[in-house]
This record gives sequence, C-alpha cells and structure tokens, in this order.
Amino acid sequence: MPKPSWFNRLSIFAGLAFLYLPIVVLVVYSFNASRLVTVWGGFSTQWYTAAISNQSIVEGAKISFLVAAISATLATVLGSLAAIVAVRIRRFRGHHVFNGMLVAPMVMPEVVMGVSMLLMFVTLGIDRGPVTITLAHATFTMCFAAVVMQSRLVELDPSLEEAARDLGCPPFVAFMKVAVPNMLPAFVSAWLLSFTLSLDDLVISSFTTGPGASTLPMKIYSQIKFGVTPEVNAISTLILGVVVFGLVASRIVSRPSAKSSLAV
Amino acid sequence: MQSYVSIENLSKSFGFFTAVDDVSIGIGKGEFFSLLGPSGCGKSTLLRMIAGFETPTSGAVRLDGEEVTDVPAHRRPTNMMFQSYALFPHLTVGKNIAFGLAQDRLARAEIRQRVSDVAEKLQLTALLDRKPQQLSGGQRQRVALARALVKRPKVLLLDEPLGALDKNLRTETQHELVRLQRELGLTFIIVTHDQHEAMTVSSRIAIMRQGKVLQIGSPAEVYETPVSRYVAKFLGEANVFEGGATRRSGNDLAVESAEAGGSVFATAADHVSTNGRFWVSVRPERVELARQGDGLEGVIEQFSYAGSGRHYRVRLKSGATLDALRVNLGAEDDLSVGDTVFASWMPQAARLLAD
Repeated sequence: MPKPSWFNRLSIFAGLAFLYLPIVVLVVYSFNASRLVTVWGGFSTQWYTAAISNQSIVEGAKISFLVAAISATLATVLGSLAAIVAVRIRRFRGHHVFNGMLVAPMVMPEVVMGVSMLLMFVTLGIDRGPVTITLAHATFTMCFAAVVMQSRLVELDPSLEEAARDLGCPPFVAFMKVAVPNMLPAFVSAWLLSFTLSLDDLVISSFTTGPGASTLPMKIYSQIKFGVTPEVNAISTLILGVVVFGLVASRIVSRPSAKSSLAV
Repeated sequence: MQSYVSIENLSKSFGFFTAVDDVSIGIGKGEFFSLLGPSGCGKSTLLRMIAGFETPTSGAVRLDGEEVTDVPAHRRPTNMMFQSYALFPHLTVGKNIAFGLAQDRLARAEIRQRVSDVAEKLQLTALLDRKPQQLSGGQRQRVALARALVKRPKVLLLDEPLGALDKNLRTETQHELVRLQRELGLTFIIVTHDQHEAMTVSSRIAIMRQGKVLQIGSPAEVYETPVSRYVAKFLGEANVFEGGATRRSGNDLAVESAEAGGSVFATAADHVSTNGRFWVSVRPERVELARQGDGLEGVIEQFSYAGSGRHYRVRLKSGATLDALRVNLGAEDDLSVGDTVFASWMPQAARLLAD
C-alpha cells in the first residue's frame, strides 16, 4: 500500500476534526469547574454530581432508558420477522414494494413521521405518554433492526436448516435449533442499534409525548433554552458514553458471526 | 427385480421451467449410484426430491417398497450430505454428529457410543471438541459425512460431496467413499458433474441432460457403448464423424465418411441402422498415429504433454480435427507439430451412434 501523501493526511485530519471536535469540546467542558460554559476554570466533576442529583434529569433518563429498552425489543422482534419474510420467502407478490417499504422510514423526514404518528394517536384517542413514545420509537427503529437482521440472514446458508430437517427436525424446530442460534449476534446487534437510536431521539419523542413524559433529550433541549450549562455538557457526555458503548458492543457482537459465516 | 429406491415417472417444474422431466430410475440395495450431468441438468433437484426437500409435480418415489413421495424430509429414512456441508457453526463437531441422534431422543449412552464409532471410522476422534470453523476443508467433509452416516440411513444422498476439495484430496476421498460404502453395505446416491468422479466411484451411472435421463449403466457400459454423441462426448473424449455408404466384411464395417475424408472402421455388433443418419465414434486413446500406412491423413496441429500421456490434435485433410492420445510408456516421442501422420484404429475400437 502506498504511503498517504501529506494532502491525504491533512484531509483526514480536517475531516475527523470537523466531525469530532465539537464532541471533544463538549466532553472537555463537562469537566470544567467554572459556571461559565466557555471559560475554563480547572478540572472538576461537580457537574456530573449536579446532573445525577437533578431529580428532573434523572426522571427523564429513567423514561428514556425504559422507552429505549422496550421499543428496541419490539423493533428487534418485528424487524426480524420482516427480514425473515424478505429473505426467505423472497419472491412473493409485491416483494419489491415490501422491501422498499421496509427501509423507507430510514430516509423519511422525522418531522413527517412525528406528525403522522401524533395524528394517528389523536385519531385513535390514545393518551400520549411513555407508551406512545415507545410505540413510535419501535416503529422508526424497526427498519434499522430489519436491515441488520436481513444482512445476517442473507449470509446464513439455507442448507443449514435443510440439514437439520434432514436429521429429523420438523421445519419450525429446525429454525429454532439452527437458524436462531446463528442469528443471535444479529439479534443483539439489532437490539443495541435500536436502543441507541431510541435513546437519542428528540423529534419523534417531542411529537408523541404527553404531559409529564419527557425523555432525557427533551429535558436537555428545554434546559438549553435557558442557556448551555456545564450540567448539560455532563449529561450529554454520559449519553455519549452509553451510545458509544452500544455501538461498539453491537460491532463486537456481530463480528464473530461474520467470521463464522465466511468459514461456512 | 424389485428396486430398493425406485423413482417412477418423476417430474418437477418451477413455473414454466421443467427441472426434472419424467425420470424413472431403479436403484438396487447397496448400490453406489451416480447422477451425472452438467450444471442445471436437474440432478440436484432429483436428489432433493428423494431427500424430501422438493415436492414432485408428478410421479412417485419409493424407498424399500414404501411410497415416500409425500413424506416430509424429517421423516424419511434418508440422510443427505450437502454440497456446502451445512455444518452447524454454533455446535462442536461432536454435537454436529450427535444432532440427528439427539433429535431422535436416543439414550445418551447410545448416542455417545455411535458418535465415537463413526468418529473413529472417519478419523475424527481428535476433533470432536472443535468448532467447524477450526477445521480444514477435508475435515469438514468428513464431519458432514459422519453426521449423515451416524443415523444409519437406508439411503445416503451426497450432493457434489467433493466439489470443494483439491484434486489429490478428491481422489483419495473417492476411494475412501467407496471403501465406506462397501463396508457399511449402504445404498449411496451421489450427484456430480465430474464424469471422472462418477466413473471412479459408481456401480452405475445415470447421465442426465435438461431434466431427462439419457442413459443408465455401469461405468464401462456408458463409456464403451454410449447411446448418443452427447453421452460419448460428455464421458471422456470422443472423435465423432458422420457416416455414409457402408461396406461390410464379416462383422467389420468400412464406413465412407465425408467428414473424416475417407473410410473409417467400426464394428457391426451395435444395433444401429446404417440406413439413416449415423455417426462413428472413436476414443482418442484407441486412435493410432503412424508416419506412414493406411488411415486418415492429416497434420499434427497441436501437442500437449499431460504426464501420463501425450495428446495430439490432428487436422485431417477433410478439415475436421481428430484427437489422439498416446499413453506414456516411457518411449521417446517421435511425433511433433507439423508432421504428416496417418490415423487408424481397430474396427472394434469404434462405435456406431444413431443420435
């Protein structure tokens, strides 16, 4: 491989700085002792203490994690079923439309999704709150879960299940005994991705929430209206930590599966 | 004769495409039977219908006298070795082999006994705790075989079982398969596109093309007496010339062939009419090349050294080509490209083909 030129190095550096410098600044200032966000007053973890003892923030975090966990579970189950249909049954009437509709929410404007879901909940007369946020999150993260599952299912040798049937398993047992264990990493990966997406969502949550049900991003956003405090930096850094953990874990979990499918 | 595996007028269509077209084959107990043909000829579909993975459009499959056409795969007394081996990546070699026995809810002690027996037979004992990813191609192939054999199926089905192995390992494994099959006395049905493999392992071969069976017979039968030009050329090599006016002397025929540019010889023992269109087929190894004498005159156009033999391509005066193979007996090669040669063969070396 040729050595990168100084131009390559510079553009990589500039690109990475553009992407991550604001985050670095955020993290650094979350350890700022000063009350003023932009003035460095020495190292301190006081804002973390302040954040986790802030009742409203903790309440928001609880809702966020609960919503993320439940919606990610729903999304993974539904997404897996959709992926199985798309990969295994493949050539049914309207499969192109089905595949398109499966991934469309990925590029659909969040505002549009938010409004449409709000309208639906109002029309159906469902009281808005954590439940509606959860349903909305499950809906928009499902497509991501489906895509993750789909890519794993495509790699999974269909003769594995045939082999299980050949050795005496009825079709459903063959699926449970052979396909499911081999999809496990993808399940975890899809769940973590959905969880992460749900955790940091602001737009759709705002549309589908009701009184008393504010997620963490909503709490942060409303605090920002009164000015950025170092406390917000601290909470954001914590969320960042959770998200990075989720993404890294999802990658680590899905990696061995790629290796074993190559070997098969 | 009552066949052990009997395939009766079996057809399978996918939409407008007919993969298997009215195939009937009877396979005896303890046979090593090959389904041979190019890719897309329907041989795999036929095997999958015997295994129960495909439902025939029409026709029937009988195993040991019992009709199994509508019996699902998991209740058939057949086991299959898949082309991709289909080893379960999440289970160890031992658990892979035991999978079918555990599914049948056999006693643990018996499962252990049978797994260790088959592992010993296939030299897998040291690998039982490994995962399939940690095995070489040849080892995986043996695990797949063990997993299918351990259930003691009435019929073992093998779908291109050696396709992923390199040539030396293939040859070795072919002999191993034949040895196992004899030892166990099982009925094997193998699908392959490799004619050499089919000839080496089988007791009988069915040659398939476009969903139909063209010929069934022992390797020697199909090689020596092919029913058509296609079969002759698919099984090894053949020089084929269209025949014309024929003179007979005893059992020998002298056939005028415009294509070959002269008289070619054949034996009359074949029951092929020389009135309509017919062809004379001769294998390259039966063609003799001489610098002078009788025969078809031509010029050596190509030469290739294949170790065990020397392969010559001769451009005949008529413009047709003729392949000749001289077995390498260690003698000095006295022919080279550009030499004029005369090609001839014994009448009994050539066959008449009607198609």
